[in-house]
Amino acid sequence: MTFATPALLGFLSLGLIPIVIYLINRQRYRRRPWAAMEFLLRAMKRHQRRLRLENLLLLLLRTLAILLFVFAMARPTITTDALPVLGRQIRQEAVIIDASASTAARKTSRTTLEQARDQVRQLLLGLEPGDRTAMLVGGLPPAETPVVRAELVGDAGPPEILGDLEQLSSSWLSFEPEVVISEAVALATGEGGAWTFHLFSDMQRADWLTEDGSQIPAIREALERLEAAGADLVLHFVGPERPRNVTLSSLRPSTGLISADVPISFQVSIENRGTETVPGIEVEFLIDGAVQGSRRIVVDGGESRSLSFPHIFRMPGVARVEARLRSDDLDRDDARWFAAEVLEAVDVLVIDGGWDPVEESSESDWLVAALGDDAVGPTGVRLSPYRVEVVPEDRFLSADFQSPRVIVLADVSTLGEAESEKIEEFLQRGGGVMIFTGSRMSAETWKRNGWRNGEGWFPWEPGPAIVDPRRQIFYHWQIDSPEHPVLSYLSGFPEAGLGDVAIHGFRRPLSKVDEADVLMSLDDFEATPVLVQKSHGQGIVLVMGTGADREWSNFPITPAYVCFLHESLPWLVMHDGGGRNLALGQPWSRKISSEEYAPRINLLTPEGGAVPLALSESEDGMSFDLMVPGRWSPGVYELRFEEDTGETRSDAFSVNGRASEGALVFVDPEELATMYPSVMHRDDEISGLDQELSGIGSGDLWYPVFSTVLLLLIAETGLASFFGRARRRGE
Amino acid sequence: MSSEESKRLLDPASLAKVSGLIVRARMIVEGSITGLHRSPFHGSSVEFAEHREYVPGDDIRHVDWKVFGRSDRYYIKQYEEETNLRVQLVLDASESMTYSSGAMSKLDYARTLAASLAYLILGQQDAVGAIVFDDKIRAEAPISQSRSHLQDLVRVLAQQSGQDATDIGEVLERVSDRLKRRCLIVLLTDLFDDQDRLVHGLRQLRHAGHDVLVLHIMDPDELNFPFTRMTLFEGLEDHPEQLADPEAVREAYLVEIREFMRSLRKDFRNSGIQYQLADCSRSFDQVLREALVRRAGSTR
Repeated sequence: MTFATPALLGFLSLGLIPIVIYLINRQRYRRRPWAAMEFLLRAMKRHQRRLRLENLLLLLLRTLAILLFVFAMARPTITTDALPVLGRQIRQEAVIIDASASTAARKTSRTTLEQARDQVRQLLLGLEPGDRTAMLVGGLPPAETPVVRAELVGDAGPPEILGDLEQLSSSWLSFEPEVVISEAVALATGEGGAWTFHLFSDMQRADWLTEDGSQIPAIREALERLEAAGADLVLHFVGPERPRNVTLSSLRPSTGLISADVPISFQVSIENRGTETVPGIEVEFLIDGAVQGSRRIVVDGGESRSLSFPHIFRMPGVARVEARLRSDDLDRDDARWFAAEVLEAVDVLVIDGGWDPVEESSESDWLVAALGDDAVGPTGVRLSPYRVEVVPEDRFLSADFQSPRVIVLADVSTLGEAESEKIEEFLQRGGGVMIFTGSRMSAETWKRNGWRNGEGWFPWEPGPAIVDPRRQIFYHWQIDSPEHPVLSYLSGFPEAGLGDVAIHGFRRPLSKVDEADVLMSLDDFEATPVLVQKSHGQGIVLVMGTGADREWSNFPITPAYVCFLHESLPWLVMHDGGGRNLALGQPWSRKISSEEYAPRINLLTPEGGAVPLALSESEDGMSFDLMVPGRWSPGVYELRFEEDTGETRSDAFSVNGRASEGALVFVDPEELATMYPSVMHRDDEISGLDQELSGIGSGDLWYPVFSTVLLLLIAETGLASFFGRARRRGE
Repeated sequence: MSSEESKRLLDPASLAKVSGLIVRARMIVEGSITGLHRSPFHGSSVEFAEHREYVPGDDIRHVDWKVFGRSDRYYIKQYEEETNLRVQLVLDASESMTYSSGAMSKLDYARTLAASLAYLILGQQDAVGAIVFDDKIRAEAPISQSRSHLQDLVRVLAQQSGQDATDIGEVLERVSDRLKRRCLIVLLTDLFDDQDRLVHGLRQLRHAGHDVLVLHIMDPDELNFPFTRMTLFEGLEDHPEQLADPEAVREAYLVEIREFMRSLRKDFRNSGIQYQLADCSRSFDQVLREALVRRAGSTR
């Protein structure tokens, strides 16, 4: 049993009033001398038992009437099979509203959500007092999602739900049917009775079906559970019929590593989601709020266009990059943001294993050439962000490990304990290490100090070199992780010739390597891992099973070599900062060193607000953790660190919504009802209330309880009158 | 004095402000009762005295039809009294008679009625005496027809205030013993005593040849039990206390009191005893008129 206003149950104590009055009256009496005492005593003696019974009965009726009145005012509702006996069978109609980003699409002058709200309001006001309802909202951030609770409908509808309804606005998120249906299952199960859920949504195809148009298992399972809970789901389509929407679907730099004075371009993708050609689409490109360029393009219906906006950052730091369109039917997908970390230059330390007498070259010659020169040319630009320093192996221990962001070990022969510790410290600080094996490598020292039975930073136990000196037997490699940042470009660009690389020398791991860490392997019988990644501390290690020069392969003379290095080094540099561009709701964390500590940190939101943040001491006690909870509005968020001296410095991250939300491709509700047999489609009409209600449901006890109160009062009056007459008759 | 004004002056609340019993009696009798056409206390006689013209209210049995035949006018035959009437007023002054819901207690009301009767009787040259009792006779004025006897009667009636219980049966036996000649005994009491002994005592008086008129003095509270709040009733005359909800017990009480009165009336009727209820809320002249009319009816 549930109550619409359970607080009123506190007034049940009013039921004591008749008893208290009775007791008070017995204590507050008047004294009166009385002559006709004999008759009074006789009357008392003759009628005392009956009087007591009458008093008790009347007292009971009065008390019961008050208790039931309070009970009725609390509007009790019960779920029972015996409902028809108890009173009017109430309806349990809940609404589910899709408040995702796509519902901000305008249909004439009103958005989809506003029209959904109108229909929901109409439905709620059509309910009768005593009916029960609830509102579930999908596509909102957790903090903005109204609490799901059943509410009893009053004379003016369900006031709390109507209030919540007025507050609803479209979010920047996507609608996840399985989540909200699961909430509906919980409501139907928790409240009991037969519930009908009316879902008001634009039925975005991507929310309901997979790309190949089949069921999404999670939705099917949720619907089956809803059906098992005895609930119905009725679909009401509220989307625009002919959407005209152009989406700015992506904004990304041409490279993962952005450096000052190095030309870079940002790729902007524009998709026409409608069926008609949209001319004069103006695309603006902004850096730190200033327009850097704009283009006017024409995009045919259903087509997409990519634009490239070149730019040279002159200063290191974090830049706010934005691309935007002129607003259209759906403004949620008309802009995207990117927080670009601009580095001054990337210092790369190459520890060279030595001279190759066969090739008459040093181990790192090809490598340095591929990374390019960081010198600023006469046009004021640099062609490479890398500032490479090469030191011979014998200067390993004296080399500066503070400045470099990446250390490349090129066929280093001996890895002593001190060298290994130095590398480990570098990794602990978040550095990136790339290792090329080779013929000079002393497997024993690497095994002892680098691998350390799997406890060290080197990912596998190095074995002996496997080399065909005649260069007649060679292998190719195959990409095991094509989505990995290092390989994603190369895997989609076969012209680079990665597949043409012929390898006739390599080192085979003696220990088993976790498959998840293998990025590439050889096409030999054992599928020898040849490119392996391992995280260690805050840093990351990439180990290439072959050399950086031509001693064991022709890799350096293929175009893939340059590509590989220019994809690998950004990954080694940015592996921990790649999370600067986040999805909606994704939290952001950063390690703050003691040198970076600032007493005040504020998060400046795109809307202009400031949210104070606090640092927490990290486990190692040497640094601090900064955790920024997930943000639910897109844009660039700036972190401002304020020193006690008044100096400030900034960092930033961007948040973007799902580009597919602007697709505005709707699934036909009839098709959906066919795909998921447990849903019913009501075509845009609020006729759910006319449906015949089925057997078991919930009963509003207001009428029966209040009727009982009236009956009790009538009975009390009648009995009091009857008792009076009986006394007069002397019965 | 108009009848309305007279009625207002003769009600108990007004007369309570008059302290002297004689003055009260005079006001009652001269203000109202003297208007009666004939004394209800006339003795019975067959000796014709004179004719008088008929006025409405006269008993038509006394119309002289012969005269009517001759003169076509109605005349009433009047007869000479053979003997003087002797009246013994017996006043109950027990504790139960002290109950009062208004300006006048039952005892005061009864005293006033008794005094009025004495005034009336002496005014007709008849003889009247008074006895005041509770559990025994407390004061007595012998029967006399002297006009100056009124002072003695009133002194006796006013002398005692109710403090003790009632024992009417015992007292009536004493009264019967003292009355040597037949007389009219007027008993003014609330009759709150043992009913059997009471009726027995009255029957003895009737057997002794006396006429008996009982003026049953009752307070309106005792007749209607109008209380509403929870009340602790403190019994007079040694009765215990009783806490009661008057509204709940009212009907039962009224049944008891009515049954008591009905039973008394029945016993009195069977014994030839005249009974008149004297509700203390009613004006004295009304009560006296009814009593006198009842008495007159019984002597024809």
